[in-house]
Amino acid sequence: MENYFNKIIELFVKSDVSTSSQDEFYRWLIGEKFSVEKEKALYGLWDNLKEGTPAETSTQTQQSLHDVLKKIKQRQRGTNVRFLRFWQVSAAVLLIALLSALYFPSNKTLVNADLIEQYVPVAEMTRLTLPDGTEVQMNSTTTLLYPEQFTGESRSVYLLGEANFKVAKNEKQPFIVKSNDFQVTALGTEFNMKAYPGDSTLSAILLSGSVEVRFNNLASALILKPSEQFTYNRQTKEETISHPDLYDATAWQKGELVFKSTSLREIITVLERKYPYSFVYALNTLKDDKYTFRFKDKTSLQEVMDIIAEVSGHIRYRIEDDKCYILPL
Amino acid sequence: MNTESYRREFEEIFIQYFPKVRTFAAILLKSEQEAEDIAQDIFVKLWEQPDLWEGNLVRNYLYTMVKNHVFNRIKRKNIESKYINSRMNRHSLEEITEFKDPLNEIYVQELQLLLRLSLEQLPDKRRQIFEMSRFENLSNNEIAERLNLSVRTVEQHIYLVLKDLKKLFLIAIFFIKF
Repeated sequence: MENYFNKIIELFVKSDVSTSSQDEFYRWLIGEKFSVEKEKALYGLWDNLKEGTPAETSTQTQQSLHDVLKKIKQRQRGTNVRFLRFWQVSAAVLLIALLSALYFPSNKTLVNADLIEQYVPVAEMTRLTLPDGTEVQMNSTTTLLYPEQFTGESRSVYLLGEANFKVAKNEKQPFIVKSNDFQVTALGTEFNMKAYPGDSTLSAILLSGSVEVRFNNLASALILKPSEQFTYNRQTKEETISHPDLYDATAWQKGELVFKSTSLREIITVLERKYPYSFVYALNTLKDDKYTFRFKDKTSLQEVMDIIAEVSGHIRYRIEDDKCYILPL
Repeated sequence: MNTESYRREFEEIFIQYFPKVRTFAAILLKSEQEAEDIAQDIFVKLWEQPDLWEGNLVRNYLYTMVKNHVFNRIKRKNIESKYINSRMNRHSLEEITEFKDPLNEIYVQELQLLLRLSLEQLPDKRRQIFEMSRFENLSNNEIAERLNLSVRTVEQHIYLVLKDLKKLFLIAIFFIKF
C-alpha cells in the first residue's frame, strides 16, 4: 500500500501538473488521513535526494551560501538576547530531531511484497493460516489482504469484514490489522475484529493478551484488556468499551447467530451476509423495536424467518428464488 | 570554538545539505523562488544551533524543518476555499477505469489522485480521447467523428491508456472490455 503513497508523490514530483491537480495533491498531502504513510513516503523522497559534495558545488549554491552568511551577519548585530535563549531552543529542537530519528530508522527498505487476497463469499466461512503462523477465521463476505511474506517492521494485513485472529507471537514484528480509519495492533494475542464497509460501527473484542486500537483517522488510541469490546461509530465518532458475553461475540465462528437487542434492520444486514438471499422490503415495514435471538448452527433461513416473523408480530415473509420478501402483516 | 573553524564547519554542512533542502522544497512547491527562501531561512537558523551539526542529527533536523516549512506554505495557499468539484471526482474510479479492487473503499482518495496525476502524463491527444470517453460518455464512434479519426485509432488510444493505468495500479485487477 505504501506503493500508492510513493507513487503519488513520485508522479507529482516528476512532471508538470495543472494547478487544479496541484491543489488536489496539496489537499491530499496535508490531509490527516494516512498521515503516517504519507510521512513515510515523503521521508523516502527526502532520503533519495542527492547530497552535495565540495567538488560539485554549483554556482547557485555558492550564491546561496553568500546570501545566507550575509543574513547571519545582519542578524548577529544587536541580537545578544537571542544567544541567551540559545540552549533552550536547541534543547527543544534536539528533542524533535531525536524523535524523528527514532521514528524513521535508517534502514529505508520499504518492501512492497505481493499481496494475496482472500475473499469469503456470502454464506461461507474460511479458516486460513498466514505466513507467520497466525490463524485467521473469516466470516462471510469478508476480504483479507496479506503479503506473501511479512518482511517489514510490522506484519500488516487489511480487513474488510469480520475475522478472528490468533496472532503468532513475535514481539519484534507487531501484527497490525488495518481497516478504514481503524486499526488494531497486537503482539501475540487473540482478538475478533469487525469492520464491514457498509456498517456504521466498527468493533474489536480482545479474547486474550493485549492490543492497541487506533481509530478516528488513527488519531486516537487506547489499549484493550481481555474480554473488553471496543466499538466505534463512524458517523457519531463515539467510542464505547463494553464487556460482552465472549461466547455470544464469537458465536459466528461456530456458525451460530446471536442477536442481542438488535433492530430488525441490523438483523437483516447480518442475515444477508450469512445466507445467499437478498432481502427486499420497504423501510417503514420494519419498526425500531429491538430483539434478542439465538439460532443454532445450520439453521435454515426459513426457520430463522419463521421465528422472527412470529416474535415480531408485525411482519410476514416470502422466499422466492434467491430473494426474501418482507411485508407488513 | 574559534570563529574561523565554526564558519568552515557550517560551510561544509551547507554544501552537503543545502541543495537537498532546496530541491525537496522546490519539487513539492513547484517554485524555485519559494524553495530558495525556505532553504535560506532554515540555514540561517541552523547557524545558531551548532549542537545539531552532526551527521544523522542534522539530516533529520533539516528534513523536519523543510517539511514543516513546505506544509506551512501549502496551508497558506488557501487550497480549501478554492475547492471545486472537478468532473473527475464526480465519476467513480470504477466507471472510469473499469477497475475493481477491494481496497477502493480504503484508498479511494489515493486512487483518484493517482489516476488524475497519471492522466496528466499522457500525450494531449490521448488524454483528450480518454476524457471524452470517460467523462463526457461519448461512444468511440462519436469521438472518432468529432476528432476526425478512425474508430480503430480511438480504440487503440483508450486501450493504451487502460494498459498504462493497469501498470500503475500494481495490485489492481482490471476488467478491460475489448
